Amino acid sequence: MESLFSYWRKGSVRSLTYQWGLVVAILLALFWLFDTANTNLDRLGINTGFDFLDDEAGFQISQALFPYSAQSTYIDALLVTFTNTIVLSLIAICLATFLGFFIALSRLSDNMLLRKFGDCYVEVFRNVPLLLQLFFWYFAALKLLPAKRESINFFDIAFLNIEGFVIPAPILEDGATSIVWAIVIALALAIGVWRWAKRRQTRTGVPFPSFLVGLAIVIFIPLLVAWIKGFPISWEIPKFGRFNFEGGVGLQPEFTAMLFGLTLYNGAFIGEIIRAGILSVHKGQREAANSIGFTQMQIYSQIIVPQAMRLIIPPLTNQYLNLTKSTALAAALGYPDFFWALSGAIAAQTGQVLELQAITLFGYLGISLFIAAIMAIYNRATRIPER
Amino acid sequence: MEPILKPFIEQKAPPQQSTGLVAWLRENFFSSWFNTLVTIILLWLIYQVGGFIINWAFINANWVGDSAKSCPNVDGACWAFVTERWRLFVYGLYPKELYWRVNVFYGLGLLTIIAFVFSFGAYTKKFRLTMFIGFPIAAYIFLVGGVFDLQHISPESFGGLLLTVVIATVGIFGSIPLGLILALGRTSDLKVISKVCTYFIEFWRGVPHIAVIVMFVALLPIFIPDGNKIDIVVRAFIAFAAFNSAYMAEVFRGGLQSIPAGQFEASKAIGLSYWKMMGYIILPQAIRNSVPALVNTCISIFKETTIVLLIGFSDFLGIIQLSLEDPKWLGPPHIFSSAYVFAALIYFALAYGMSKYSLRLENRSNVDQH
Repeated sequence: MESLFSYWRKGSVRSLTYQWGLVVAILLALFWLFDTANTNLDRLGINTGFDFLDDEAGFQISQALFPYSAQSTYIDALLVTFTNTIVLSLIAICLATFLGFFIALSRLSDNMLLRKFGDCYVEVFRNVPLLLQLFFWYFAALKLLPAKRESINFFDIAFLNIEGFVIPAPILEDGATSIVWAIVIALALAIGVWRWAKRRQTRTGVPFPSFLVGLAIVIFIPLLVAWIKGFPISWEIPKFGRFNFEGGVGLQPEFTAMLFGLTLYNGAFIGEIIRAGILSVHKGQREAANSIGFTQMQIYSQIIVPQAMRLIIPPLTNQYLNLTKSTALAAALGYPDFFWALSGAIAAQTGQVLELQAITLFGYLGISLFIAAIMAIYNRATRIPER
Repeated sequence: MEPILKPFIEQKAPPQQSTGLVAWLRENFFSSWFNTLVTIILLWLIYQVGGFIINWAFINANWVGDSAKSCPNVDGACWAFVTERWRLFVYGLYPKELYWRVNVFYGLGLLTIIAFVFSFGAYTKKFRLTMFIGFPIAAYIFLVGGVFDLQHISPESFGGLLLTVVIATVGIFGSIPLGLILALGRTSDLKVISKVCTYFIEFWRGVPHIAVIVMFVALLPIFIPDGNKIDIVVRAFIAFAAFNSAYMAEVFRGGLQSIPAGQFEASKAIGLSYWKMMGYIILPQAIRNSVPALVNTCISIFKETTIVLLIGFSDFLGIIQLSLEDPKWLGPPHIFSSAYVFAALIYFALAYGMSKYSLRLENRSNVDQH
């Protein structure tokens, strides 16, 4: 007994016992859950397995980026709606970041009125639930828009009405893919120039206008390729025909409302994150840069922003993740996103809740991990080199 | 040859006035032509928007009535919708003669908030601990009843602001202890425990909240032995506490990481066990450091309660949405906007109040640091 007790007092023995105990407990719990689930499923006569995914879906999806019909399979439906979720998240992330940047600028401005305006914006949009804001845009604000015939006209190329937003559609002709490749190559080249310029400046101190040169590369190379190929992209401008718009892409009101809500709500958070990041850079840094003769532009681009970025990136990642997850609320407005398909349409038809829940969780988990991984790479690239 | 030193320095204009109203105005509103332009544009905007709000919310508004017909003016708010239904929005379908029990619950909630916002000298700690433990118990007794001759009311009949506050309370009070345990697990030296807690936390943080709630509501019956039923409201409560505990865990982890390593080493050096070290040295400091972030998490939990309407609950927003679909009130969009503006005002007042409190705490703890 004595020896057993002394064993117990040994840290390593104790910690091993705790850890193995936890592992065994978790395994037992999982086994028990699995067992109960099995009995219950047998009793309810529910089949398990993912075979149903190959069956015909039989429902329409109001916004599909690639060919989809009611005869397509459930897998097709999932792919289409998953793409919708990704597209909605990406556009909302871009717009919210853009908006947040301006909110941050206004809150850091010399003008007191502008500063207060930014503060009010952030407080109002941050403290009202997102779902309520979505409802407001969808059920109240967008319903005030005029009917199709009296659409609000944006320079004769885009039209806003109660049934959505009609914008020009790009028509890709032969050789359009080469432009995409040209953009990719130009981007790579610009990054290369930027890195070369940075290395040369660290070595010799000679500055190089890498931003302007990069911008020129990104603009002119694709233009040049397009010119060689004879401009293979044309825009189809929507036109109001007899009863409806012809041509162009129609953004559904659900999509428009989601975009409004997500952008305005997350813009407030992102504005606050950027402001906090810039304010966190010590005042002495700016003064030091001023005293050695940096221009305002150089102070921001060389001193403030690189340091602020390190503090901005982690919470910004979190905000992007939150935004992506909250696109699931689109189901409340009836926008056909991933969650709408899984929890609504497919669940109602097949009753395979267990499998569908698994797909939901792992689908969203996949997106989250993907965003987290990209931001981690960026974070590693901008972090202070340590010894 | 040009002389290096000029014989006379040119006389400069006197410096601009730097104090007083004129200087303050110039510095804040007209420091450059761009600022002047911004000021003028914003003043015009404030005039326009302010005028619109006063017209919409007061001058053109309809205050009383019992159906959509009593709000004919589409350029004004339809507060009649709110004045007629506010009891439903605040108390849900709770029996009318038992409203006092809900009022007691709201009062106790207010008392709990007072306990945490204000300081009561030597009694502060005791008061807070009593409310933290006592409030959930008292809330259960008064709202659900079934004890002390109080009539039993099923949680399924909760609705309106009451349900919102109850879900937020369950989410907050349930996730704090769970989150603390998870945070301790994640920062533990025991590899397996730390890994398990990390995966648990990251899993809940990686999936949409609405998906978690739907999952609990749809799947929980499959995972419990036959014959046991869990009330649908309780399932939603469990889901709320479960995924919020992951967020709380990250809050507490932030607090734990803010404690310098010397505190841990010193505690170990004087021979404290793990639990004594945590209980007496680390956690009191860590929890104090994490309070501002904790309040922010409480705000987001409070806002997140709205998603329960998607699984058919009538929380504050849900019951407003339901009332809007009532044929009696079905009408032009201005009734919708009035209802949403009213809901937004209530949510804003509560959330903004909490955020001001967290800001005050942050400032206070900044002062504390030497």
